[in-house]
Amino acid sequence: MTVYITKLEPKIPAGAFTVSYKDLICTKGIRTTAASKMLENFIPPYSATVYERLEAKGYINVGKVNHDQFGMGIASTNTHFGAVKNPIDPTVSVGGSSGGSAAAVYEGSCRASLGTDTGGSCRQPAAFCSVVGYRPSYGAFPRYGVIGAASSMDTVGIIANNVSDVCRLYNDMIGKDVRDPTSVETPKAIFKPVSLKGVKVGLLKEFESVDMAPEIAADYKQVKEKLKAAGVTFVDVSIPHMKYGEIVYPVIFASEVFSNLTRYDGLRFGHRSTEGKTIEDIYFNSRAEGFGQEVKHRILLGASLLSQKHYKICYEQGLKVRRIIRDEANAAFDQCDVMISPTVPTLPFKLSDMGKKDLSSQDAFVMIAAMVGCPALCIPTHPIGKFKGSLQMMTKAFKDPELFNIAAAVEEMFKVKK
Amino acid sequence: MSENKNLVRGYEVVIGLEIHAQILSVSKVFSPSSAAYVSTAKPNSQVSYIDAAYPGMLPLINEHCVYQTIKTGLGMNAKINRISRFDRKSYFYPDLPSGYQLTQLFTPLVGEGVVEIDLKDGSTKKIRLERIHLEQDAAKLVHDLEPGYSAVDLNRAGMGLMEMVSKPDLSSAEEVAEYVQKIRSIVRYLGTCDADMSQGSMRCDVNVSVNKPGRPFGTRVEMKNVNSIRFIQQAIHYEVNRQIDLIEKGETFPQQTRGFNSDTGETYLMRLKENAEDYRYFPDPDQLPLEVTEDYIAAIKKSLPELPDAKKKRYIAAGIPVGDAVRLVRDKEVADYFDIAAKGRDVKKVANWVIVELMGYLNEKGVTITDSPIPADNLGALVGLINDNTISGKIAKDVFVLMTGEDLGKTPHEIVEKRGLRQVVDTGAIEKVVDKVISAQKDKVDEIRQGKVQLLGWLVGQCMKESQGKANPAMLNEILKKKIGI
Repeated sequence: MTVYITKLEPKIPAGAFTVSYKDLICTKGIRTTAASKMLENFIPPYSATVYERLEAKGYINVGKVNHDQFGMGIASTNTHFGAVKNPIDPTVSVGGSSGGSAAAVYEGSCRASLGTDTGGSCRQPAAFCSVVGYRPSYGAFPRYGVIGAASSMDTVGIIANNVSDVCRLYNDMIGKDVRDPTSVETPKAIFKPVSLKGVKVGLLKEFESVDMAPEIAADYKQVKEKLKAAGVTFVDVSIPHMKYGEIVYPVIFASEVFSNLTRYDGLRFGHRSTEGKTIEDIYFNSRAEGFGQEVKHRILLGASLLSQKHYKICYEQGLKVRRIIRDEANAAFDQCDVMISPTVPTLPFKLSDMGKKDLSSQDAFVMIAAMVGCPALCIPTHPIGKFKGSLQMMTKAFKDPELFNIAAAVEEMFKVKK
Repeated sequence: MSENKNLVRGYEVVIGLEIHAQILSVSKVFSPSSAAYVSTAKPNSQVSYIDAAYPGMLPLINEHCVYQTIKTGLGMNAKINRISRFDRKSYFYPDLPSGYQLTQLFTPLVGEGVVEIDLKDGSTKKIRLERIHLEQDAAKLVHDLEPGYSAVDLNRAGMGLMEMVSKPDLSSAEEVAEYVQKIRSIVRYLGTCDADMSQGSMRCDVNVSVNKPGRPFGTRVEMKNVNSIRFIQQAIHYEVNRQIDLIEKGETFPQQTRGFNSDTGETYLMRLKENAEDYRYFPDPDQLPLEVTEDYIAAIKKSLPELPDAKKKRYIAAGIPVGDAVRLVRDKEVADYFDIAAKGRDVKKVANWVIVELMGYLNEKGVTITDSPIPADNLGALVGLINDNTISGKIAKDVFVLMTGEDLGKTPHEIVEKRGLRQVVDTGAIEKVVDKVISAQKDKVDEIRQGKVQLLGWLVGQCMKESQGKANPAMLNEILKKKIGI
């Protein structure tokens, strides 16, 4: 079970908070591979802002965890270092791309793990491992030193055991960093779970048509009943153009990924092929050898989408439609305190189903947060066999503190009495 | 119409220029590494992880480069766009570490403007500017360091560039030369670029086409990497004739990019446009839109120095001939020198002395005017001594030479007094000299009286010699002629 790419054995003082880091997060002097052959020996001479901040606050780094290379995948199988297995059941997916983070938190080798969430990559694995997953408001955590995939949607995410830990890490990681132009100052969170009485819970109309596995649907129904009993008011909200997200998200993702990966050319760092003599040989062979299949697919798709022929109707149009979706989402958020949904429409899928079944619905619930830059937090709910259901909660951008306090209150309802 | 003047073998020439000017700043446009002397610094000594496009690094806009670009735009009467964005232009080449260049295709920082050029006949022509946008320079490749290898020097990677795109308003190689000179002047006045074409801090791409008058524009050919004004003119002359030759033969040619061989004076094909790369332009998602306020722009506008055109107009109004005015304002250092020298003096004469005598001397010695051995007020004083008849023009030239050599640092007044160079204006003294010479040269005088007037000059020379050059020439002439009786 290849959870760790680089396991450290640090001295852990009593009461210290241990953290592992997805190998997309640069750690000075410690190998950072992006789970790829391309960077298998890369030792960054700098650390990501989020790492610097946590180190400075005394969090202990226990190692760099495995994931789908360069953040592309839904099962943490696209890695140069051996697939990550689901610690609950090795025959099913651990989720991706931050599968190593979720597995590490589940098995207890660290109290929390930093991953990245571009389109659900922290939340789906967290759901599959029955732990808490969080994607912040875009811009809350600086991306300096985080290996980029899709710049306009990349965030550093947190996988942990409870909302309180997420909140604590949030406070220790936020703050605008001039080294990331897209980072912003966000409010500090005061952890104080709310009373759920009178809380307006938004139910997104467009989620109703998502095909859910019966166990997930049943779990979700129970969750809603519990919430109702706790005194929430349900509000029907709508994001009419949300369905276009299914096209817009992959278009923007592939385009930005293509461009963010052009720097991996074998010349200044990373894998350089020994085959060939000309510069074209170096480029071609280094990239062919260094990148996994999924990465190559995405690069080629992105290159095509950004071509002069397609740019206007693909990427440019995608940006405009995304803006519409975002405006509609903000209007929907204004009508409620929190929006909920299941995190994933299925239980962890069988590994043997990969390549056979259509798994495209995996991100049906998690994608919207990526599209609109809002925070999303998912918590485990009821046991479903070996696994648990998972409830996703979202608020408007920069209302992360409010999200924590609502989520903590909901979390109470599912706390297992020890 | 000035266009008709510029016909070449009956064809109109249409030229547009793209000028890349390296921005004078402490740091590069998107990274904190040093932007100083990148062309001469030790290779790879001024490179940040951002320049080298390391994983997780994000470009950071340098406000001073934005400031410099706005300042340049204002100096060309251009519209400043309050909101602009940066776009990624993607291609693979070892001089481009990130695999994309940050530029501004869709929304430039500076919009349309106008640059006025000075033509040789004293007239002016307005050349319209399409835009100025901000972008990154590429690294430098060195091919002769080791056989079989090319070396990459990243010092220049990420340097700030202002790309100034003109509309196709230029009609001749001479106009292009004047345009480049004017751009050079303006950016040097503003301190936004040192415009040293030999060091590569200013580079020009030239787009050329020809057409018969009244017909649409012909096929455009781009010429790249022509790195001096002289070569640009040569390249244009060659290319225009090459295109006309083809057209006259009934041949067509495709849009293409050509280089210029300065040894042979010929352009050569580099690549066809149809084989040009698809650069996959899209707005950089790592950058926020660049927003500048009206106040910010106004503050820059207020800080602008007097620019060449305004200075030129002021000089012409003061009576300086157009050609001299153009020559004086081209370099701010020369204009500044002239302003000091001409203060309270005969501006036309000072202008002439600065341009002809001083610049002549400095150019011969390869010295810039800032290092002139003669300070500006001393030159002005010298001209003053001519105007108040203290010395003659000829003696002044001698004093000038002394001021650059033996009497370096002394004022002209000091030199005149020390060496007794004062002009002789006393009629009696001059008459004495003339009488002496006339009596010594009786036969020459007779010849002059009989009509050999050309000998008069020689006789004047003899009188001058007799007076050790100190006689006032005009007075000497008059008295001599009177005494001879002509």
